[in-house]
Order: sequence, then C-alpha cells, then structure tokens
Amino acid sequence: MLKYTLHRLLLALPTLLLVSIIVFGLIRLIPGDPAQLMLGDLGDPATLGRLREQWGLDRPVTVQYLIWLGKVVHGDLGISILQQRPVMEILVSSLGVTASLVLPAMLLASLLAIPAGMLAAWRQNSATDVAVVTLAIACLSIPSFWLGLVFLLVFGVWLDLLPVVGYVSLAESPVEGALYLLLPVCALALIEVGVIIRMARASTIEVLRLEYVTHARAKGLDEATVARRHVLKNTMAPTWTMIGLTLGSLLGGAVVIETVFTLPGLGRLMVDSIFARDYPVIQGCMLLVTAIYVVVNLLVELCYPLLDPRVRPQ
Amino acid sequence: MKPSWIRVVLRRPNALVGGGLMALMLLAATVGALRTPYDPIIMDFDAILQAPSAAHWLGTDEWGRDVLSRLLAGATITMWIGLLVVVIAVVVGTLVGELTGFMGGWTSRCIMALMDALQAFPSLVLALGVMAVFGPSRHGVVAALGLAYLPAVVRVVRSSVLSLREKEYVEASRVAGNSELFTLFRHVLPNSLSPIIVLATALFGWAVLSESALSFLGLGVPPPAPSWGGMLADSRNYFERAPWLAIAPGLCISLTLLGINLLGDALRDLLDPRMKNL
Amino acid sequence: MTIEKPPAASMRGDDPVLGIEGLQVDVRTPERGWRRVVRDFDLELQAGEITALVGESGSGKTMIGRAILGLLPPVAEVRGGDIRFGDTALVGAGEAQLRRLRGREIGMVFQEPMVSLNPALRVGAQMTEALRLHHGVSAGQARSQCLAMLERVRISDPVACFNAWPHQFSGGMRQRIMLASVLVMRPRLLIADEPTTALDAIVQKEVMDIMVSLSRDTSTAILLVSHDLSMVAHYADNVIVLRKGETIESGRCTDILLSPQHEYTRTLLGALPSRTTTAAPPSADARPLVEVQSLRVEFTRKAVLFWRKPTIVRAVEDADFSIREHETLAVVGESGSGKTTIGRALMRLTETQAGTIRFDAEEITGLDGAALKRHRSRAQMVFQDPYSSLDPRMNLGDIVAEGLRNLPGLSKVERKQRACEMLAEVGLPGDYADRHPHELSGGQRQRVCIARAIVSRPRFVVADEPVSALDVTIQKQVLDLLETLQTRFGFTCLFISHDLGVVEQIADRVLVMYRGRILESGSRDDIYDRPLHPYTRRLLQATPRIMRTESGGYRLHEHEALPREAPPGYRHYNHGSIPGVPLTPEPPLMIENSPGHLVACVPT
Repeated sequence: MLKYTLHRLLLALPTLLLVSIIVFGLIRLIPGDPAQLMLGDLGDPATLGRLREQWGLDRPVTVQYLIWLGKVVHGDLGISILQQRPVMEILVSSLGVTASLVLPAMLLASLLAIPAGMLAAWRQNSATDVAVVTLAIACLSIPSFWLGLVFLLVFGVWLDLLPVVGYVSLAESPVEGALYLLLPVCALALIEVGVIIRMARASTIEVLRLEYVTHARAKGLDEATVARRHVLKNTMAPTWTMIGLTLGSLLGGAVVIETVFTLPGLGRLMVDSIFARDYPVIQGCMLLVTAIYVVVNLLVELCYPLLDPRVRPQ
Repeated sequence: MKPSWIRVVLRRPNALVGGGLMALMLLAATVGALRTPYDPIIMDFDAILQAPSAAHWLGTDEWGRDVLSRLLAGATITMWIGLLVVVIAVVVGTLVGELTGFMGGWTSRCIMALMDALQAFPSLVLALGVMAVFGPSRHGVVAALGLAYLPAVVRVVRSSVLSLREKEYVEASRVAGNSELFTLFRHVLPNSLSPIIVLATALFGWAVLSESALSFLGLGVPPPAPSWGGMLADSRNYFERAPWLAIAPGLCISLTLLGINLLGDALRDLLDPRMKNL
Repeated sequence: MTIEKPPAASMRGDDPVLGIEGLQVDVRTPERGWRRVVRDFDLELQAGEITALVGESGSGKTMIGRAILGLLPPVAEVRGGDIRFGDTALVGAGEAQLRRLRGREIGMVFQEPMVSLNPALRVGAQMTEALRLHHGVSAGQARSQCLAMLERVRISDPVACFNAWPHQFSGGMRQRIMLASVLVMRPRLLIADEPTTALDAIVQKEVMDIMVSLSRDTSTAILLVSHDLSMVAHYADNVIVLRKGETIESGRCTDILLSPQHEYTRTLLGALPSRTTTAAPPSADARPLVEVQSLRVEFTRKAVLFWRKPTIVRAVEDADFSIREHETLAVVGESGSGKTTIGRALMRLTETQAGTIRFDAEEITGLDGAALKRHRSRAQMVFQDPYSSLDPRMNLGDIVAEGLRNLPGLSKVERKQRACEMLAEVGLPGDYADRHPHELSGGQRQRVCIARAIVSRPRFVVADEPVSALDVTIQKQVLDLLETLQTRFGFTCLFISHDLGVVEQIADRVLVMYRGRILESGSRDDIYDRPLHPYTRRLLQATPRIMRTESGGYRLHEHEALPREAPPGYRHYNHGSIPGVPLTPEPPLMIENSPGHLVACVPT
C-alpha cells in the first residue's frame, strides 16, 4: 500500500510541474515584466533596473522560472502589489472561507444525491425514478449564481429571514457564521446534486444488472441486505471518483458564489485581483486552487482501493 | 429505418422538450441578430427601471433599456460564443485525440501530459486566468473556454479510439492491407462520432454556463454589449426595486441549459446503445 | 458404449421436488409489445435426478430457470401455469415466501463465473451469508462448514481461499467456489444455468464431475440448462429439448439424444460436427506454403508500479511447424495456450521476438510498406466475434469490396461487382450488398467475414475460432461453407479452435498447444485415434462427443485411448500442471514417433 501511494504521488508530480509552468507562462504573456507591474507607471528607470536585477529578470526565462519555482516550493509566492503583503499570507486567510463553503456543499450534495440516485435506479422507470431524474436535470440547468441571487431575493429581501450581504467568520461566532454560510452552501450544493444523482443512478443500474446481485437474491437475501452488502460498495467506487471531480466545478462555482454573497474567499480574491491587476495574487490563487484540486483527487484515488479490492496491489 | 427514427423521437419527451427549447433559443438568437423591439444598447433616461408593461414586456433596466431587447441580443451573443467554443474544442480535440489515440509514441505521451495538466485546473479558474491576461472581450471568452474544455474532448475521443482500436473490424482493415491513416479515418473516426456528438451537446451547455459566469463577474463579454450574465450582475444593485431584472436573464440561462441537457440525454439514448437504459 | 449412471435416488411416482405445468413467460420488447418466450412448459423433477433443458439461443431455457426462483429480469413476466416446489406454489407466492426458499431449498449456479461473485466482498463473507441467514448458525460454525465444503470441491487451500477476494481466482476456481457456496446449504434443488460454458474443456469436466457427485451425495435434484448436447448426454438422466419457447421432445436422455424421434432433435444432432471419412489425406510430399521455425512471441505487461520492470509473458515459445499447400492445419488448445497468437503472427498483426516465418519461401517477419501490403493480399483472416468484426457503419458490399482496395488495376465499379459476386457465393445474394451488419444474424455476419477474407483470392486464410460464437446448427452451415469454398478456391487454411469436435471435422492435420508450447502434432487420425502426449489424451477425455452410428442412431463416444509411453529414450515433456506427468524444466524436442506424428519429449 505504501508503495502504491508513492507510485501515485510520483505520477502526480509531472502534472503539478506542468501546471506551474502554465501558470508562470500565462502571467508572463502580459505585456511588461513583474518589476514594471510592481512599480506601475511611477517607477524611475534606476529603481526598475535594481528591482530587475534583484529578482533575476535579466537572466533567461528558464532560469527565472526555476528561481520562481524554488521560491514557490518554499512557500514564497511573492508580494501582493495592492496590499504589499506576502501573497501566501493573503491566500491562507481566504482559504478558510472557501473551505467552509466548499466542504459542506460537497458533503450536503453527496448525502442528498447518492441515496436519491440509488433509489431511482432501484425503481428504474417508475414514477420515483422519473421524479429524481427530472430533479437532477433541473439542478443541472440552474446556474449557481442565479440560484444564489434568487435565494437572496426570497430569503433575504422578501422573507427577511437570513443575512443578505456580509460575512462573519465561523471562528468568531459559529452560529452567526453558519447563518451567513447557509444560503451560499445550499446554492453551491444544489448544482452538484444533479451531477452526483446521475452518476450514482447510472452506476447503480450497471451494478444491478450484474449476475452477483441476482446471485445475492437467489441466496434469499432481502432487498435491503442486497442493497447494503452487494450494491452500495460497488456503486460507490465510480461515484467516489466523480465526487472528487466535482470539486473542480465547486471551486469554480465558489468564485461566483463568493461574489454573489460577498464572502472574502479565494475566488473573490482572484476576481478582485484580476480587476486590480495584482498579478502575484492571481498567480498564487491559480496555483493554490489547482494544487488543492490535484491533491484532493489524488487522495480520492488513493482511497479507491478501499472500495474496490480489484485495484489493490498484491 | 427512417419512419421508426421519427417514432423514436416522438416517444421520447426529452427529445421533444429539449429540441423545442433549443429551437426557441435559436429563434431568439436569430431575432436578436436581425431586429429587436428597442435598441439594446442606447439608453433612454425617460424609461428607467420600469416594471413590465405593454410597451416593455419585461420592463426596463437602470439605463432605461428594454429588457426583452437586451435578452434577445444577449441570446445572439451567448449562442454564438457557445457554438464557437464547441466547434473549436471539438475540432481541435478530435484531431488531437484521434491521432494520439491511434499513433501512440512519445509525442502523444507529451500531448497527453499537457492535457492532464490543463485538466488539473478547475475549468472556470483556468478561464479566469486567461481572461486576466487578455482582458474582457468576446474573443478572449471563446479562447479561454475553448482551451479550458479542450482536454475533456481529447480525453473522450482518445478513450473511444483506444477501445475501437481493439475492434476486430479495425484489425480486418489492416489485414486488408490498408494503411494506418486510412484505417483511422475510414473505420475509427466515423465510429467515434457518437460519443463526440453527445459530448458536444454537453459542452455547449457548459460553455453557455461559463460564459454567463464570466460575464457575471465582469470578465466576459464587456459592457455595454448585452449578455445574460452581465444583466444578472447589474440587477443586484436594484434588487428590491426591480426584481424582474434578476429573474428574466436567469430564466433564459436555465431554459437554454435545460434544453441542451434534455437534448443531450435524448441523443445519448439514441447514439450510445450501452447507455440505452439509463 | 452404454452410459452408466447410478439409479435415481427416488422411484418415479413419488412426490416430485419440482413440478411445472403449462408455464407461460412473456417478454416485453420495445418494438412489438409482449412476446411469448416460454409456451406451455411442463416438467417433473424427482429428488436426486438430473434433468437438462437443451436448446439453441432464444429457446427460453434460461427464462424457465429464473422463473422458478421468481428472479426473472424486469422485462419478463410469468403469464400462466403452475410451478410447485414440494407443496409450495411458486407462481404468485409472496416475496417473503420466495426468499425463505431461495438459497436454502433452491440453489442457483450462474454462467459467468467472472461476474457472479461480488468483487467487493471476501469469498468467506459471501459463502457464509446464506448459511447464517437461513440456518442461523454462528459465524464460527458457518466458517467450518464452508471450509469443509471448499475442500470437497477440491480447493487446495480452503483457509486461504476463504479469506481471499474473488478476483484472485481463475474462472474454473470461481465456479467451484460458487458451487461450494450453493451446495453448502444442501438445497433440494439446484438450478445450474450453463454452469461450465465459459470454461475450458478440462476444467469444465472437473466442475461438472464435482457438481454431479456432490449433489448425488445430498440427493439434490439438478435442473441443468445447457446448449451442449454431448455434455447433457453424459451427465443428465432426463432431457427436454426446447426451441423458441416450445417443448419439442422430452424423456429419458438415452431415448431422446441417442435415438431422436422429432425432426428438430435430429437436425440438432445431425449438426454436431463429425469426422468426414471421405476427406482425402493430404499427400505428405506436398510443398509447404508456410514454414515456421523457432517462433517466439512475447508480450510485455506493464508493472503496477512504474519503477518496476515490466513482466514478459511468452505467448508462443519455440514453435516449429509447416502448413502444406491446400491443407487445413488446426491449432487446438485452451485459452492462454498461444493458439490465437500464432495466427496473428502469421498475419503480421503481432510482432515476433525470434524465429522465422517463411511464406512461399519468402521470409515475412521483416516485411513492411509495400511488401507487407502484398503479403496481406495473399494471406487473409476470418475473425472470431461476428459482432465486432464488421464496421457497423458500412454496408456489406463496401465491407467486402474493401478486401480488394489494395489490389492493383481494379476500378471501384469492378470491386463492387466482385464483392457482390462473392456475397452470392457465401449465400447472401441480391440486395444483401446494401444491407448493414446490424440487420444480420450471427451466422450471416460470419459469412460476410468469410466473403471479405476470400474475395481477393488469397492463397492462405487464418480462421480464428470462426464458429465458436454460433449455435450448433448455424455452426454446421458455416463449417460446410468454409469447406466448399476451400475446395472451390483452393486456399490453404490455418484453423484455430478450442473445440475438438469442430477440429475433427475440418482439419487435415492438428497441432496441440498448451501454455505457449506445441505438445503434439500429427495427422487428424494420429491425434484423435493414437494420441501420444498425456495432455492430448486429457483433452480428448474431457470432450465427450455424440457420434453417429452406422445404423443411423447415435452413441455417446467417450475417449478411452490407453496411456502411451514416449518414444524410446525419451519422456513426455511437461512445463505446466498436467497431472500424472513429472515436471520437466528443460526445453523439449519434437520427436517423430511415426511419419508425420511428432510429440514434445525430453531425453531421459
């Protein structure tokens, strides 16, 4: 198992390396080098030259990349142009907000969608099935930011039940913080519900068709036992992978949801930084979000053998 | 064959509703391109934030522009961008996927490593990064989304090619003395079209959704050009006074997505026999 | 030869274990609504008896087995009739009542051992499940009962097996585990749905022997669902012949299968492959068309961990043989023996690692470009799976015409013309050229494959299991067609098959392969009547065949050639698990025992 873990980790390294090259290259496509961007139009040529020398900008691009990568590996993502603080510091404070949004959404979506998908598959072609499938399609078709706006309009403005704009950290006040997070989490979760329902339903139908389910029934097991012992685990394997992949759209969705609900998370930070042309922060956001996505999917993959003994290394 | 095909479509409400919705949206886009009741861009300070009425069926916005006209014009832009993204991602992705799947070797391994890296980004985050470089523009949106969805197409095409490559009729073509490239285009490509078509419909939906999201964030279609996402973003300031501004564009996006999702499901039923009962 | 069977455990006239009367089963099809798949089916099964349901695909035999347990697929429904198990009426019984019978009183063994065990549960957990549910025994008791049963199905290390995962076993082992987990319940009735169809001949015999002997001990009645007439004749007491849901004939096995009355049963038996005595033996001095020397083919399997070295699997090792012009050489062996790899190597679809292949005295292992193209216009191939060997998007005319694309000097019209002529030649005349593969049956598709292969008039055809996916009557038609075409066009044929019956009918000479090595080669009569190598004998013994007698009836032929010594100064070569032969790690020599009859030996 340890060797398998090492194997997967080593395989993820080239991907992460390429990701860093893409992020580095993308920002370099912007006219003007980091020193110019940092000083803006105000910098005099002498300061500019000093800064360039200090950052190694007079050396070849590959060397610049390696210097940058070395710093990144040590947790140094540069200095924010706007806030004049280390980018890492800014990212860490925003990460908590995004995590408290995305993780509950992921959990909520899975808890709602997996049982619903399995139930629909079990009663394939019945009214229940049609209802669940329709619900899934509806969820897939509503953009999260619009749903967020509608939530705000209904619960915040018309019914005046929940706070509309603003944010209180969970650490400061768990109850109030949770109230601020309730609507965004629901809006975000509902989108993924559609994806996970469809996946859970499809893989359950696939499993139900297999002979070992008939075999289990031929043993005289009741439907609940068949579901629990013979179907759930085999259905979970592909669905589990899917949940890891939905994190990507959840992180993307968080960017928009954080803007709708004005939450100070990573996504909003990225958007604000784009408007402020704060390139070190944009770079940091992209790297961090992608690294999280890659690492979470790696963890998902490492857990996969627990669900499917067939891929366990002997 | 033909009459039963029509019957199959008629028996599937998915195909009918989805097709109907998409036809409606395409009609809206066409009307939006040809003529709209009012000019979607010119401001009219005498008609600011009017509720829906006979003159303005869906009301007016904070600059006095007719919401219906802006929705129609927005449909043109959204559909056009969606279509371009799909065409670019599908054409480039299919070529890359077919070639890397069929040929193998170091070049294709490198290309696949690059695709893995691109897919490692959450697609909206990658698109945001590209938009940060290019600045908000329609071409930027198309480029950003095309790039973001390219790896998904490559992956689907490649895996379909890899499974087709093992089919005995591909082997038979080799035995007949045909070259690899002929075999690829004669036997493999036509048979991998089904998953590509199904993916293309899904892609159109994602592209519409992402374009709206980018425009909502102010990083997509630049104002004053109307876009559904941008209209939603503007509506936030007049929430209490003019809720219709927040309802109508969102409904348009949802109906488009619903249409394409239903149509995609129906197409998948028809084209992919393995998924027939799902 | 007569069949010896112990007398049935109970006398006729007792209360039957299972009684079925007038059973009707319908299936809902999307196009045509309800369609009857089982019609007026009657059955009476006594304790300890084995009754077989035989029929070709679409005969409804599987539906009957499932209907008894109330486990029909969702599209099927019982529309009438009675099923009585002892005193219980099963049609219309509640789920709870059925569940009490399932597993405890009625056990079921499925066809596909690869998918009938849950991959996510250990073998032990699956085996003890039913015991604990129905008999309420403790975990420890269940475990010891299961271990005892695993031992009885001859699993060498029952404890290890009990704790292992299903995917760690081969198909034959899994089917034994299935048997053990069903029979540990000591059911009164066992429904075995094609229990050995997916297995190799020798394993098939082992599993059937275990199944029959165990159920005799517990006087369990068996309902055996099968398409294999010879196997049924060997094991069953009674037989019911089905066709398209209707009972054609039923009665004692010896009566029905060895002296059939009904025309359909006769057709079925007549379609069984048999040795045609008319075939002229190939002249030994005919020129060899293909000569293979010291051929080795290896496959590399990537290691799970990328820093490990990939494992190299030798699919074919040190193969020497030649194929004479106009003859049919058959390669027989079980799965994994390397027989398909040899065919693919001759077609240059697989790279070879060592050795030479000469075609018409020309070395072909290094050919590429135009030379390879030329080789492929002289040598063609017929594939195994009629469902994946035709491009679903092309019509038959185009599919066959593609075989002519690389012949010089033919216009498109001429190609199409010749394709149509060839389609007519294989029995698909007229408008068949415009049809698409999905409109054809399996047998018709295989005809198209044959047409595509020989339309360019090749000198050599590799036929890789061309009839193994087909029902027995269709199989006969395709084999006959292949023979007719061979006489007419005079091509040389390499015929690859696992089915000794088919090979006996079509081959002039035979190669026997086992785990990548050729163990024996010789004329058909040498191999079938005077087999030398113990493996060849085992293979023949595991394949009982129904043979026509001179008087027009049938008899069950079981192979009984005596074991024969290796040629003087040598002993039989064995590199695998051939029982009764000591392992000989050193490489074998092919020793000629009599003219043209070679066997793998090592010097003593």
